[in-house]
Amino acid sequence: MSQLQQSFKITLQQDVIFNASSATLGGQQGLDYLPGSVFLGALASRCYAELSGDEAWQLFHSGMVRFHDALPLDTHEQPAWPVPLSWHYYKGEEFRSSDRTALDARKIFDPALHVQEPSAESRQPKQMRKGYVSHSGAWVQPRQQLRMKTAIDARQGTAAESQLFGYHSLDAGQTYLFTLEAEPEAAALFEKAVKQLTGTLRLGRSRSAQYGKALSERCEPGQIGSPLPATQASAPAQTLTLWLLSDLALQDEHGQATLQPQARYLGLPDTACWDKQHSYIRTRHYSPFNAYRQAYEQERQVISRGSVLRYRLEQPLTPAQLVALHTCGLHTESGLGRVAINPELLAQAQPAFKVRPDSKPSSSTTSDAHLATGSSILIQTLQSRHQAQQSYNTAEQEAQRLFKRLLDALDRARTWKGIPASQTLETAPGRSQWGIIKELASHHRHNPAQLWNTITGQHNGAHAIIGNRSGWELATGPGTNLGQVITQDAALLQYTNQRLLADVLGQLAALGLSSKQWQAKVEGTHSVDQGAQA
Amino acid sequence: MISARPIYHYALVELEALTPHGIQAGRGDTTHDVLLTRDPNGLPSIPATSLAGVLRHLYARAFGAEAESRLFGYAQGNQGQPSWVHFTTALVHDSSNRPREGLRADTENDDLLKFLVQSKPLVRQRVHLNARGAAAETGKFDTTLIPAGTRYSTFVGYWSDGSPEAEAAWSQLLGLLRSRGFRLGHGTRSGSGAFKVNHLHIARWDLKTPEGKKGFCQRSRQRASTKGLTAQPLQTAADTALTAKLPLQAEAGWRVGGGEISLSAPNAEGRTPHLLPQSEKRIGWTNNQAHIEERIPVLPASAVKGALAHRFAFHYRCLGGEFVKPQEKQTELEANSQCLGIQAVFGYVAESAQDGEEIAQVGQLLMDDLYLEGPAVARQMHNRIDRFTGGVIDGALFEEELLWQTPLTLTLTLLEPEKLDDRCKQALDRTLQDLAQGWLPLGASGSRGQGVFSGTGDIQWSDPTRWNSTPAEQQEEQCA
Repeated sequence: MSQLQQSFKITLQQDVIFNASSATLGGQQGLDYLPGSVFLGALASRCYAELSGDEAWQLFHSGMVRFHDALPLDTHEQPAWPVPLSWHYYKGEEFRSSDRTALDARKIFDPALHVQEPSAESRQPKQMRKGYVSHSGAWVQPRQQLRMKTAIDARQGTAAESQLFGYHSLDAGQTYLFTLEAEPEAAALFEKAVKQLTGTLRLGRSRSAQYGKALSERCEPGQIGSPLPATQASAPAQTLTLWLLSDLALQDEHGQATLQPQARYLGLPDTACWDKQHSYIRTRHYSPFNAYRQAYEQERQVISRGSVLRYRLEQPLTPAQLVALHTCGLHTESGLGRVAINPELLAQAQPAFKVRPDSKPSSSTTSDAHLATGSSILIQTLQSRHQAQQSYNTAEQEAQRLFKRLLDALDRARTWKGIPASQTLETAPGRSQWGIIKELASHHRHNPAQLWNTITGQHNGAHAIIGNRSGWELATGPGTNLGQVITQDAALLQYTNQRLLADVLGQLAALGLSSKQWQAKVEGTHSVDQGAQA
Repeated sequence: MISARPIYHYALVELEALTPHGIQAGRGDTTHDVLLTRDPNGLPSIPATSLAGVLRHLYARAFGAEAESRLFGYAQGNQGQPSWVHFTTALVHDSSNRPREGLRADTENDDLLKFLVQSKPLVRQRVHLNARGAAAETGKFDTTLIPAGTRYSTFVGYWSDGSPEAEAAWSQLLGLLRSRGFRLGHGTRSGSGAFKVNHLHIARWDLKTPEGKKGFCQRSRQRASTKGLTAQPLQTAADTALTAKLPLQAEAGWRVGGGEISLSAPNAEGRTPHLLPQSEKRIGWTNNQAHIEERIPVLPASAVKGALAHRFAFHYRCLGGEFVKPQEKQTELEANSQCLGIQAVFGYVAESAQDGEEIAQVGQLLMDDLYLEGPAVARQMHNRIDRFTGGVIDGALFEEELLWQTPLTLTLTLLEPEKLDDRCKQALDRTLQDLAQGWLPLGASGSRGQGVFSGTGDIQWSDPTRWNSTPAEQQEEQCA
């Protein structure tokens, strides 16, 4: 009889926290997946008490029912697995696709199988350790964040001493694939477990305060891809490749934890031999916390998920041996020991990613879609602020444009009047004239028409500020003078009835007062400090 | 809430600005030196931190540092206590006299809000004059202000343990809202930032009782609603301040310059005067409706204070025998900030002689900007004579607008008069006498006959017994 299996899609409705280690001091790293033990614990808290001793043993301790780690789904709702540690890329080179959401198969290689090109002498391979990869090469990096928290002293209302701590959590909104497996003998309990594990679950730390809520939905067959990576169609007879999809806890012949994945510890025939040279292995240790006992359990020494173990075989494995290999080692009820046997993705030196057959992006990844802006008051406020800022930027740009034109006009004035570059332009407008313009721009900031009249003297021509005196009458050519650069500027004339006019003239005057360029142009080259910035 | 302090006091305070005011944003833009803090709607608001800071200092001055720490909290090394008083932002009222939380859609439709949302509703041009009456280096600046008459509402909360001391602290705190030292924003010693409390609604809930819990949970969160609160009559604050009123009348014309709009109609040729007195708009309220009043002339307190400060420094030095020695080069008198009398009355900012760090002290003399209803306005033409031809210089004709023979009452408040020594008091008396006798012109063109005021009555002190300075005859002897 075949094994029973049910997949669930887990959607995080709140942030969830799973500590990578049980240390109480120092920065805590959070896991980026949901360990199977979390689901085991969630089910146990619901129905352990109502089961008989034998049933409880069978469901939670025997390994006949296995709660696998929940791994993230990619943007197309396809399962992803921990990146195999055999994959490397050259340091400093881009190994991702152009939109950074997938891996570029041409840039990834397995050094054990890969023949190094001569040009690669100086390039340093770097192991990939983070993230999850799906069949199509999508690279999933679950989003996490760190929040610092403290306890408040109830008496004083201030932060309590030595109570600062941080939670490294997985962001809400992400989706994971959780698989529950069982031997056929445990069918009744399996059904019960499936029923209890559907719906709202509370997972991880700090479940009663801000964290932990998740929604578990049963997956129909074929809804999401197979929870295991595809196996090679025809596996090579003399090698066995294992890709650890979860941590692996092995015991040696003396019952001691071992980190050496010798063939016999996995139940492989004695003729099989661990090929250390072609394997990639990382290890970690942690103590799981048992919430029922409110205590830590025995420390586990495990070979990390993502490790790639290769074995040399004298003869191919029998189907029974292959089936037994699917879950090996200890604590299989908590999801440890899940392996992919001879996965297709690891068959070659470079991975061959599949194109998704019927891809339906769960979220719009194309940025062509035009986002309709709402009409909420927040949007309106932001839009009007944006317009005000645009207006300010426009005023700034116009002022700079006019200022540049005035500087050029000063050069033309020198040429027209034959004043050498080293001499001062005696009659050019000075600080007082700029100050008057700034003052007027401020006085008439609400009345642009009045401002323009005063500046140009449309009502009392003899008293125009920019008129026949104060340096603005400096001739720049036949029939043209400096003042006309402003009073006859086509773009500026468009603003004569707009509030923008005061901003433009005010900023222009500020440039005239503060910019060293004006001073330098007026005074001539003999006073220019060679190192001065404009 | 903590179990040790289960009593919650809640107050809804409505403030109205008596003078222009503003909380500076800490920066200006390209065209103006000062921008003001705004709420997300772009409307002026008074941050809770401003209220907390001002009231904390007033409380410390009135009741001592220990009481201040007990009420407002402190943090010293590992020891600390949070503040039991909680302040909220004061939000502005619209033209229907209603404050509103959150984003508003009507800032362009409501007349009052449209006026207040401008980045610079009022701009005052100011200048720092040195002892020679000329502008100090880089002493010209402008300030942006929100008009007088603007109303704000804010919530204040307080956790008490029910003991008599804790309950008294709450009453003391509310009383400070009416003290003469309660001024918010920038330029509080230059005429800005005076506020009055229009309404006070309070409530008290004991969270150990069901009614108290219910009342607390259902308390009003909107500044426009007094649900669950009862009106509290405002009590006169007991503070140590002393006020003097000096009635004056201008002998002829006077003008505090920097005005933007003429007060009289343009002449036949459509021209308005070049030099204008300062005038501003205010917000007025009738039957809970706001209206923006017509511009009226204003005597900025900063203009009076500047003149008084320089004359005061002169008298103070006279009384102390600090004269310039003939053989010394005439030194710049920016050393006004070094003059102890100035430091005590007007405040100062200076560099410490020891380490070059900036040290400062706020002054204790307060004056409000004075708005003048319906003064007589006059215009005067000036021209400039060419000294060679005896004729008029072309383009040098200008017109000045003046206020004419205006009566006004100058009000000065000293917050801690007991801290002033006799020499300060005498110097101040002499300064005010100079003003009343026309020896201290105010405003522009003092050297050509403008700004001369004379007293139309004696100085009235609110409590003359607290201001017994040496009589005039003895002063003459001392100065000889």
